[in-house]
Amino acid sequence: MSKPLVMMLFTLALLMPALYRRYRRRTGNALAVYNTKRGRLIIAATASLVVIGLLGGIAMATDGDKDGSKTGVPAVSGTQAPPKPIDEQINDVATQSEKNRVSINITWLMLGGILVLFMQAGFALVETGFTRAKNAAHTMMMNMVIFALGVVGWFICGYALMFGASDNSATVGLSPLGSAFHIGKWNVLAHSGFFLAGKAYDVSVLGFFFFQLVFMDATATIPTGAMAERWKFSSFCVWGLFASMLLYPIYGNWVWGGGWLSQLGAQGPKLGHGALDFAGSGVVHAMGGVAAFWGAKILGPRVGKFNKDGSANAIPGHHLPMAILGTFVLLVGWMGFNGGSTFAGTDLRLTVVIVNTILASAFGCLSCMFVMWRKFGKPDPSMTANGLLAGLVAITAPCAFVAPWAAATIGIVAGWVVVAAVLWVERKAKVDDPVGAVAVHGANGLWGLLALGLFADGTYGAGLNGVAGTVKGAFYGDVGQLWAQLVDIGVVVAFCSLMTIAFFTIMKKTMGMRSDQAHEISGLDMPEMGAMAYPDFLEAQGPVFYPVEAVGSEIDLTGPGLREEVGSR
Amino acid sequence: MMKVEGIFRPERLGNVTAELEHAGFSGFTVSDVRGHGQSPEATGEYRGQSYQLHVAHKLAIEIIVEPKEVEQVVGAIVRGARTGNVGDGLVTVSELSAVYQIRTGAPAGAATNGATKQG
Repeated sequence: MSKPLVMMLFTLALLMPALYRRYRRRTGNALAVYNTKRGRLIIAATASLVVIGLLGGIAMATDGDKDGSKTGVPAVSGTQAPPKPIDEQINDVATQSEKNRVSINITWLMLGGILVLFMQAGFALVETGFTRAKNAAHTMMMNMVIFALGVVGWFICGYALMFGASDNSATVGLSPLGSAFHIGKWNVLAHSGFFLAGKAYDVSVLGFFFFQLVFMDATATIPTGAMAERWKFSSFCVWGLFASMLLYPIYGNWVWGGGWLSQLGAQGPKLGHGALDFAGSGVVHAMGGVAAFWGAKILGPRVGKFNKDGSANAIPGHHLPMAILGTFVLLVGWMGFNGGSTFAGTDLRLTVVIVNTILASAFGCLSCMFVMWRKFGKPDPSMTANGLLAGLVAITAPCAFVAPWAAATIGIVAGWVVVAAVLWVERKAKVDDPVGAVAVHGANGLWGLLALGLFADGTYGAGLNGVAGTVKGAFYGDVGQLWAQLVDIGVVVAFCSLMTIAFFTIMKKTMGMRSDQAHEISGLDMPEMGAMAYPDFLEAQGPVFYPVEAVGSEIDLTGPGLREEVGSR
Repeated sequence: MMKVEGIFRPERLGNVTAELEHAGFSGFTVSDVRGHGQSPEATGEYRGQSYQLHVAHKLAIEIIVEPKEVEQVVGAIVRGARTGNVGDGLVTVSELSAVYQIRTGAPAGAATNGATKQG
């Protein structure tokens, strides 16, 4: 009834321009389009007819799903098929619901991965904010390029070595791509899925590849902060490939890829559930932090950091707002880092994970701030930002296994640990770490691994690493779990130290790690990058920034000069 | 021609220029400078390490005037910049052997300054 009416209105609307053209031809006044009363009337009428027609059409669209009851229901075809037998229908339902479960899990995995990817921005802002303006382009560039280098290394062999044999069929439908190298019954390294070729060209594998890729990138970028302002860029590029192709995947395989550290619970000494690290306090952060420590130590301090008597000087960063913005970007990204590590949106423990993460960060921030305030008289912004990150790093391993009160406790301790570690690195170890990467990621990564072995409360983790029962820490009766964590701590420190000392020493002996000292003093932006982060902020640099015209032309210093010429224009 | 230079607290710039304009002088140059005078050094705290800011931020103003206007200009700067605390800065007066205007290339006399002169 009303549909024809709307059709008529639309036809009229379409006819309007034609009528108008006829009217214009008749009046012969081409300029009178908008200026005559009649012309304006016709335009207004056309417009209102179009609007009325559209609104009417929308209102009549009975096909829309207004209450959500029809969306996702299979469409009924004209000739209804005879009803299937009931068991077949139940089968269909089961198939579809399993598919939905995996889809929800993969969606959550992707969302988490995307959030973690954004943490690269956070790292870049924090590190650049804590360093000096003359090196800002260099520091930013390291943080951007590490992403690309990491992707390449991870694509070539990183993923294959770490996860080629891992089995996540229960969550994201990922079955192992191949078996692992093993010594006896201990797996030491996977080796399937190089270049994502063959069986690895698979939706589940690629989803998992992406999620794990962004974690690896976090590890690789941590040392760039500790070694900022003096690391030769070419040498840094080699680090990016080393970290993503060898350093991270090997240890990562031992904990996350079904390797021997994760097997400690199911066989051999039967320690708890084996080494556990929910989202990577050890695999990602302790690894990056320990590498950062040796990198900064072998590279040596920045010019002017330490005095002859060994006392340290403050070298304030150039942009605290940038660093604090970066801290918040990292905080948001961490929701995906920890929350996404359930690998499953259907695993509702993820809310506990996220709240624990938030609690630890807030308590870490406050405890660090109050320690600094008390000890040095001011609530140091850069250290408070480190404290917030320290809480996040520390809760990363235990976040799924502990109660909220324990998360808060872990955060408070993390705030103390980060202050103690910053002072230790600078005053005892005499290592120059401009951004506090060793303290935030190294020290608190290890604290996070330990905290899991202490505070895990037995409410989660049934069957993890092939061990029956939930995960309990020493305070809840399973000392074996604490031992597993201690073994893990020993292994990550020893393995990472060994690898990075060897790598950085070789780099130093061969291509050289350190920027030219003159370049370091003038700032690495121009000599190494060829571009300054902030050219406009600096004083005039002559021909570097402004073109030079003819030099040495005669200038009349007596007469009226250009006055006439200017005046005559 | 004479040059009057003043070094004063950055936050007094508005007062100094207002005083100068009130006295009829609208041509001057202001630059950012760092210096050390009688005021105590500020102490910063960064990541558990305290450090001294050896130099403090000040502004410098330069104004080129006729000898007979010097007193007026000095008075305007002092009035505008004074807070009465240590670190208020100082004013110096020096004689210039020549002044040229870049636009015309001509030796500049009174044309360099003074709304009073150029109207």
